[in-house]
Order: sequence, then structure tokens, then C-alpha cells
Amino acid sequence: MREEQLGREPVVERGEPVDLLVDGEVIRAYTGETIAGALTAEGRRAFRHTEKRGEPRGVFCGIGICFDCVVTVEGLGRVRSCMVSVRPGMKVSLQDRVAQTRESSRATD
Amino acid sequence: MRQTEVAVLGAGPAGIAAAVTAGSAGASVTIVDESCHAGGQIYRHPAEPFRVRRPDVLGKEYTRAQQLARELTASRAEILAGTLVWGIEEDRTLLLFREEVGAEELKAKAVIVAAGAYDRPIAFPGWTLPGVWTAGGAQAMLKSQRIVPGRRVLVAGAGPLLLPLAQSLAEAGAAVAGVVEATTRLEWLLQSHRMLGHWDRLRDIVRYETALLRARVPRFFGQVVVRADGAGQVERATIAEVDRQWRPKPGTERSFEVDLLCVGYGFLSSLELPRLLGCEVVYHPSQGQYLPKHDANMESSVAGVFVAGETTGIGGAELARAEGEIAGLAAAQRLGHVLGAEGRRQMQAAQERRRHHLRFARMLEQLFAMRPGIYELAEPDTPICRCEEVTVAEIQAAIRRGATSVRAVKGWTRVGMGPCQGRICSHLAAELVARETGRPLGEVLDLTPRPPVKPVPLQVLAGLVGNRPGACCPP
Repeated sequence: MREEQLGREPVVERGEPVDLLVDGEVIRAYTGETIAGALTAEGRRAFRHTEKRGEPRGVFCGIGICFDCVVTVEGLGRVRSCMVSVRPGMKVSLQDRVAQTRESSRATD
Repeated sequence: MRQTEVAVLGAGPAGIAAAVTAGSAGASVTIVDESCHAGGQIYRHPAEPFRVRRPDVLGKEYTRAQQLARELTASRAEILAGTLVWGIEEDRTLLLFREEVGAEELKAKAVIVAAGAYDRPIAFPGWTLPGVWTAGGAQAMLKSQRIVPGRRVLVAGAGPLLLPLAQSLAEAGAAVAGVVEATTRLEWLLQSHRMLGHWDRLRDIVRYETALLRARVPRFFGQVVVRADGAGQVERATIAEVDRQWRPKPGTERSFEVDLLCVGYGFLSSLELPRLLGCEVVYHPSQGQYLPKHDANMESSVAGVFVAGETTGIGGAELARAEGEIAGLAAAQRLGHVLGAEGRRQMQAAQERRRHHLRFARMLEQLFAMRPGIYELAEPDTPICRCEEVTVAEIQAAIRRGATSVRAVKGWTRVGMGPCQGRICSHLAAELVARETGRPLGEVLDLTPRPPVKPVPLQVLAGLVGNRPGACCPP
């Protein structure tokens, strides 16, 4: 949640509003925010699922150390969402490889 | 190829001080930081395009952050922001990667590593659930973006960072269900005489304690978080009372409904870069980690390579600044720049301040040192290596097959082979190997960092200077 959504008088004025496409869904964010910030503000927690155990993962270290919050951005590939700022029209995919494989195998079943 | 006399790696309090003083002593300086904004983790703040409306809420750290940014801008240092140092060649050529520019090289005559630290990870059942964040990560998002990562939060761990985090979460509108601290009030009291003379730090503690009291945030001492549960994300955190070795006392568990659990057990120094530079490291049992050897001038075992700030051990921003000043002046001196009367005075004053702040750091180090029980919370099925999803049971199986060090366990299990390069798991795996084999921790923790220290696009490794659409720093 952005602090203003928690009923507080905001400490900051945010940058320009920008729209992101997250798995095809439009999400409103503001310049200066990171992808992780924008997703967190939307209440999103799980950004991907692990390959081996299929467990949900999201932000953990928040400072670019752990690589748990990796998402796929069109044109950039897999990036740490906590380190990359949002841009207008940015296309973000949370559907990781495993999930996609599962989806497609289900589709062909 | 870019060239410079002094390359400063890291733009936190130590790096900025180093860049400013090396520059003032006549050296050409290039300062590199992975973040887009100077200040490091401690002085993260809302930067352009955010506009701060209520600076009073952000307190003196915000003022300090702006002051540091001004000092850096006014210095002669060239600033490479949003730039990752992913490797270093033997002749001190730094391999850089910037999202905006692609690959670049920087050749330096002297290097000052001020790469900072990150939260010491502690594994417990549920620690990989979304919504379980490091304390530093939650603080970072709140500080720089004013985004609160949860509505109902439990803050748990050990150490002085928990108080400002809980205070700022409460201030920003989150309901803080409690601050869970592994040490006891009595243990704090027994160290209190060593806080005398460190009035600024004492004032900070009193300020946070008062704010938490006013916000009616419950405090739990001598307790630790033992597990997190939830379907797809954290929904419940369980704490328990612990004995002097931080082993939970059965029957004392109590659970909290939360959507965010922030865990902070102090910090680990970032050592990839000094180790790539060949700096000798020594195991410090009191800090539970290896640290680079250095002399009074902060010069490491490699001539011309200096270390400063949290890279040399955990000690806080003021200690980092003093070390940065020393390293900056000493590096300039090593390159033949003669320190004037002002420089010599500054060196002496920085040395005195370093000694003063080191005393406080030693007290915190002793009070909040990890105890064995905290490494026993993980269950057989708990992942230790988050990247490669290697569990306690898998590591134990490797040990039964004869692995007696983390490197050997890595061969069996892939522990530490994921993108985090063992930053998160290597200490946890080492604690497990040490416990199971009876060998000292300093002997079993034998992973060597290798470039790229953080993943970079394949084109960069292939030597192609790729131009990718900008992403990291806001336009």
C-alpha cells in the first residue's frame, strides 16, 4: 500500500502516473517507483513460482542481493523487480517458465 | 576504456566520504554504485521524481542524506550511478554494466571498496513465503518509495535496526503487531554503561522507544519468530520464548495474524569485490563472518586496495564515514598526492572518530551476536538455499556421504550455485555443516566468489557492448 492509502497525510508527492501491463492487466504506478514497489502497492505478494518445488516467491531482501523477486520485462528479460524503475507501457510478466510450461501442457492435454 | 586514479565502489556514507577526501587531496576519483541515488542503504530517501512534502517525518537521516549528496556533487568525483561492478581483472580493470549504456571497463590505480552490507539471513519454517521480508528490504521500500509492504506487521530479529523500522512502519499507517527481540532487557541493561559518551546513539534509542510506546506497539524480549505459515503468502507468524542459547522453550508459542513479517538479525558484509581483488580475509567469530584484513590506513593485504565502512565489519554510518575519510586520504597519499596540513589534521581527526565509534560497534556486536539455537529453527524440509531450493535434509544427506565443507556440499547439492551466488545461503549452510561435522565455522565456509558476482546479460559476457532500452534509473 502507498502510505496515502493507509489514511496518512502523504510524506511525498509522487511522480507522473504511468500504466504498466502486468500479465495483460493494467496497473497504475508512478515514476520513481520500482516494479516491486508498484506490485507491492497493489497488494501483490507472489511474483513467481520456483522451478523445483513450484513454491510462490516474492520480494525478500529488497535491495538486489537475493534474486527472489525476479520478473520478466519485455525488452529486458529477467530482472530484479526491486532494482528496476517503472516506465510507461512497460510489459511485465509474472508467469515464469515453469508456469508457462504447465499452462501449455495443460492446453495440449 | 575509462581511466581514473581512485575508483570508489559503493556510494554509501563510507564511499562518499572516501570520494570527497581523495578528491580534496588531489586525486581523480570515479565513484560507482549499483543504485541510481547516492546514500547507500542507510541514507535511502525519496529522490526525484518524488517531492518530499513533510521532511520532518523523514527526520535527520533525510537531512543527512541530502547533505551527503551535496558533498558528493560538489566534489570533483565522476559519478557512475546505476552501475554494477560484476567483475575485476588482476590489473584493477573493473568490469561494469549499466542498463542505459551496456558494458564498460574502468581502469583504476587504487580501489576503495565500500560495498556495504545486507541483512543476515536466518532460515526457519516458512521463511521463503511471500510476505516474509528482510527488515532492511521493508525499510528500503518505505524509505525510498513510501510504500508500506503490509497492513498488519510483525517485526522480529535482534539488533538496533528493528526499532526504527517498527517506528517508521507505524508512522506510515501499518498496524505493528509487535517487535520481537531475541535478546533480553537485562542483557541490554548490562551493556548500558558502554553506551555512555555515545549520546547521539542513546538519543536515537530513546526517540524510537518513546515513539513505539506512544504508538502502543507491543515489545517481546527474549523471544524469536519460530515459523511463518500461510497459503501462498504469509498469514500467520509464530514466536516463542528462548533460553540463553536462543533455543525455543516448548509451550511458549504464540501466533499473530499478519500479512508482513520483517526479519532482521543484523548484517553480513558484502565481500565479493574485496575477495575478487585478492584481499586476504580472516574469520571473526564475534561477527560470525570473514572480514578483509586491513591496516590503520584501511589498506587491505593488497597494496592500493582499500576497504571502508560495513565492508570491514558492521559498525554503522558514522564509523563508515570515518573509515571512508581515512581510506580516501590514504589512497591519494599512496598515489603520490601529498597531504597538506588540513589533510593531515583531517586524517588524525578521522582516526580518533573511528576509535570512538568502534567502541560502540563492539558493544552492539557482543550484545546482538548470534547464538546457536537460531540456526536450529529450520526443519528437514526447510530450504536453506533459496535459489536452488536445497533443503536441510539434502545438505545433511551430502554430509553423511562425506562432505565436510560448504564447497563439498555445493558439489553434491548445488547449494550456493544460483543467482545470489551464496550471499543468502552460504552462512546458513556453513552453520549446518559446522554443527553436523563438529568442525569450526571458519573452516567449513570456503566458497570463493567468481565473476559475474551478479548476473549480467549474456551479450556482456560475450564482450558485446549491448545497448538495451534504459530501465534502472528513472528518466
